[in-house]
Amino acid sequence: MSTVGALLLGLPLAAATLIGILHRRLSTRTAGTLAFAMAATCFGLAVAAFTHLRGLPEDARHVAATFWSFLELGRGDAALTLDVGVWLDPLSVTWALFITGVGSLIFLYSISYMEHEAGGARYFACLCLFLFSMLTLVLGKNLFLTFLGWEGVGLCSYLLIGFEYGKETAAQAGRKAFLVNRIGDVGFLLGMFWTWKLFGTLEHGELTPKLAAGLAAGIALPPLLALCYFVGACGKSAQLPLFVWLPDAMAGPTPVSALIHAATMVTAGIYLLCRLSSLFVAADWALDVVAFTGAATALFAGLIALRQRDIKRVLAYSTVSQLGYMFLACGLGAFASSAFHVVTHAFFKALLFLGSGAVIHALHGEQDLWKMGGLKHHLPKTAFAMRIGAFALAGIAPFAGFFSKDEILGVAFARAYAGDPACWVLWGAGVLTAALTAFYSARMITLCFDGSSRLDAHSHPHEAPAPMAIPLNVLAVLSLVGGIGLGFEALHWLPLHHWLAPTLAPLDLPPLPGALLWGLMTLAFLIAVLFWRIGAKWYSGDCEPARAAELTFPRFAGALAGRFFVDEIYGALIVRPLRFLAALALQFDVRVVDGAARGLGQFAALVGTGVRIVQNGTVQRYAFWMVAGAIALLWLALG
Amino acid sequence: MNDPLLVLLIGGPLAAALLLALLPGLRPEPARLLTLLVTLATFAASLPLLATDAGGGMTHGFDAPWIAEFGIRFSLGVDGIAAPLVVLTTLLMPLVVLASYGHVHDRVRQYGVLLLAMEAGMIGVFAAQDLVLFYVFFEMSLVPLYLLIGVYGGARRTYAALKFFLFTVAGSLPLLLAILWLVQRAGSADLAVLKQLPLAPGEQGWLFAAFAAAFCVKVPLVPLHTWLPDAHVEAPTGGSVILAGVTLKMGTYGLLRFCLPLFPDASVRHAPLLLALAVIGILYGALLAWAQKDLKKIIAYSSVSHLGFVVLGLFAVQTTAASGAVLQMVNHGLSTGALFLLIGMIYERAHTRQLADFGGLARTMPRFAVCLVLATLSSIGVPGLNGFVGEFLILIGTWRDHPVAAGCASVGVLLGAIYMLGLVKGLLFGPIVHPKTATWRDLNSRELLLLAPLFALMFAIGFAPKALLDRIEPPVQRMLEAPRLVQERR
Repeated sequence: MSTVGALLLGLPLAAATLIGILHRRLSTRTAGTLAFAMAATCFGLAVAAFTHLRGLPEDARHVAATFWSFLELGRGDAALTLDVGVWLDPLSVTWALFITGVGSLIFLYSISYMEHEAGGARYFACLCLFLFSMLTLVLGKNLFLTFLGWEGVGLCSYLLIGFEYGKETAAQAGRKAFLVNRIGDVGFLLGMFWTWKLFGTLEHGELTPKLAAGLAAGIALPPLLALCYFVGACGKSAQLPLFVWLPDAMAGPTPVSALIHAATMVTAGIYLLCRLSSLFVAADWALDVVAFTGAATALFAGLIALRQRDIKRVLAYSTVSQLGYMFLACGLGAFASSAFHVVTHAFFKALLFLGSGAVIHALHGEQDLWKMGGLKHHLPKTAFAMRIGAFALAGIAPFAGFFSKDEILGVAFARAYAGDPACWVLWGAGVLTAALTAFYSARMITLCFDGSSRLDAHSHPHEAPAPMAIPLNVLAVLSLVGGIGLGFEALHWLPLHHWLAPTLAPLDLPPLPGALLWGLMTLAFLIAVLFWRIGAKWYSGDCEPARAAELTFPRFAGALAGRFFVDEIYGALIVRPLRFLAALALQFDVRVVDGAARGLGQFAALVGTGVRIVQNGTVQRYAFWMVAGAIALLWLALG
Repeated sequence: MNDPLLVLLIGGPLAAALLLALLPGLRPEPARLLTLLVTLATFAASLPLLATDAGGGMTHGFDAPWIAEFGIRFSLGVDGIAAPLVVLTTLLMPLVVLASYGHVHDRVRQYGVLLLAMEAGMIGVFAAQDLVLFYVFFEMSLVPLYLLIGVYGGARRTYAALKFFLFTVAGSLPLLLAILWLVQRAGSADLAVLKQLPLAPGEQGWLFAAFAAAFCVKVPLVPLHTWLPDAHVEAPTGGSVILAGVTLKMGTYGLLRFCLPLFPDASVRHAPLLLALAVIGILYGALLAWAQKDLKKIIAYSSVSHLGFVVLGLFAVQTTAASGAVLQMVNHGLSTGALFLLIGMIYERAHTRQLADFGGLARTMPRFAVCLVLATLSSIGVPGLNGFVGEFLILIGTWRDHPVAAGCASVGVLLGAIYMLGLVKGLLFGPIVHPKTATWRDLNSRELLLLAPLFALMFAIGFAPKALLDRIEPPVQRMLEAPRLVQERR
């Protein structure tokens, strides 16, 4: 297995290096084919790792492999030992499976999508580097390597968002993403420092048993420790208040949005929460913070998604909102349900992004929903696939998103039912968000594909070529069967949960009565269908109901369209004051600190006017006087 | 047994400097070639130093009587702290000479003299095992740098050189007095002897102050830093590289080699002050860097911030942190060296260093763009490159006893990314600004060749720092023995 682990990390790194070095000599197609072959091989390796773990007894399903010793410092309880290696267990392998699986499909899609772009080989080099970083993040055998991947994916995201670096907006968005992520990274770093001090190790394999033992003994951890990691997770997974980078990240090429900003990288925060689930469970009120942040983010981003014109921005806010659901699930202690939603979301959100990419591709870069319409006649296959993705997102049975989302809502309900009144709020927020989700999904599909065309008269959209269509079809199938295939609570069919169970903190919650489960499921289904119908109705034809609603609540509609002015508020409250502080510091430095030094200097200059006589510009003279001075001083002092 | 290697490493460049100085008729290019060959040979000869003693002791020792009546000896040796710094010095020197092909066209021979003399002095600083000898080398390395700025610098070179000189002298005079007092008190200037010298707390107090002041000016620690931006901006590229790469480390090296082991009580007593100044330096330096418009000033202030990390790691008095600090001295030399070289290369083409004059270079100079991005990533501590390892070790070690200081310093990690990515974006991305951008050719093979070793080391340290850290840690532990004991007593 250690070879499999080594190849899983080594192949993407090798491909990235190779394509990176040769990127000016390789065509997009060659580079893309190479990258795709690598990604597909990695998927095969992940499947191999999966089958290997499946063959082991349930409580022994983990394999550690060390490649080399990174460092060994200190002694005793201050010993810090870090190895480079992999830790394969159900959690890391699950992530590796969908990262490489969905990743391969997106690599394939990119070959066609990027064919006519300049710098296609550079794009694939970054994509390979991303895959390396992402796999390091999930497979790394300690938190240090997870952090290495964590920063690595941030870096690749920075490079890929700014792929069209000549565009000011793209360059700006890339930098914003990196910096907002770094706020979270500082939290992650502090968490590691503290963890090492408390436990003396950062190894996943050692940390989890130590945490579990502590948990069993009823030892409470400082909630702040968990919150350090939580801040990190908020940055990477775009939660309130650090979500602002993700919508701007849509400046990157659309397959990048699908891979990095929907299916994989943004779920790294949830991976971290799952990986440290025992730590969070033991840290008192930390999980409540996670749950409320998640619910608030889900609702907040869901609202903003209602009125975005740019198809990719709708999907971006939708991603933020769905990530909120996953955080909500973690906060409720249902880590497996969160992971379930991560997987189904990877399927249907990648599908939606790739589908929107096909639309944008067909319209030569047009992303405004109000300039689309009626596209189902031109792009019937894409429209069909996108509709499946949207049903899955909206949570309509039997599509994938229904099962995972319903499970999260069910846990919230069960917690409230078991006597935690705060959870009614969480459940309410979740249900409301579900309604919003169905509404904006229907709005997007209707505006894009239905009704009459609002296209330019010269536009003749065509279906995407096969390499783009195949991934769409595969993802459409997965969005259809990926939910029921992995878990259906009411039927006690929970293969993913059982598979993940040894690596996650267990959910301490009595199951709901079967009748209640079925009832809740029906309710969720009805809400989704109802709001889908409303959304479709409001935005079909000349969108009369939607316009009427906007006129009735102009301020609210304006706030939604303006994304609640979060960027402006951050600008006024954080960015500008910080800039002012920097300018102030500069003035202080020049006037006060350096001023004091110059004042002293002038005094010294008065004393040493004589020095000027020897300042005549020849090197030899300077040298002579300096050495002579030093010797004289030495002599004086010694004598 | 005396090993002549260190004498050779110091004497070789010094002899070559003298030779060049005594050949006024020598034409520029042969003189430059000679300088290059000598620095290359010195580098090659310095590599065996890296085979350090696993127990943290000195190797390659050389000892001869010098001023016997005061117990002053010509005593040299290196351990795992000094050896990497010596090799960093000998590595940067040929690169500086190679870089000079692009911008030094007058007084080439004298430039070589200064570089070689400086190299001898800097190697001596790191190798000296005798306090007085250390002081001699300390001053000897500064004079050529002063001249390098004053003669080869930009428009305000005289001001900058004088400022550099005055700050340094103001710092090193008390140091000289303290050294002389110590030597008289102990009857020897041998470091090993001085370590055993019992000193009253009062004596330690002022001795520590004198030593620390001299070294903190050099680091530079806030508020003693204002000479640095002026010196950097006016210095020629080579001067900046050496200044940032090696000279600043003489300060942090001094703190570790002398202050902590010789005056452990005073070090522990004053550690909170130094930690506070270090944290202020990290944050304040980063803010200042952000407010700058001149490329060299941005990097200059970033050095204030980065060296703050090193001081933090040293005065956390914790092995992991201090080992990280020594590693970070090397790292900073590599990344900042590369950044100054790159800025020098762009200045040779554009004759401006204002950030606002640039934009869109990624399209016209892709090689330059890749190099600049790599050096930046190293500088802001992105994992996989060297800078991260040092920062990580400093912070994780400091966190054990001083979580507040480490927490505040971590914010510097964020601020560093702000101004450095601002610099990258301003230079490389967005629309093209300067009308002549298209006429600037991309980096040539000489320029790539001289950057290559720095990048190779950045990756090597970033992926496998163990080899270096295994050398650094044992001597660091020795340096921290006395202050750790003081801490435990308290």
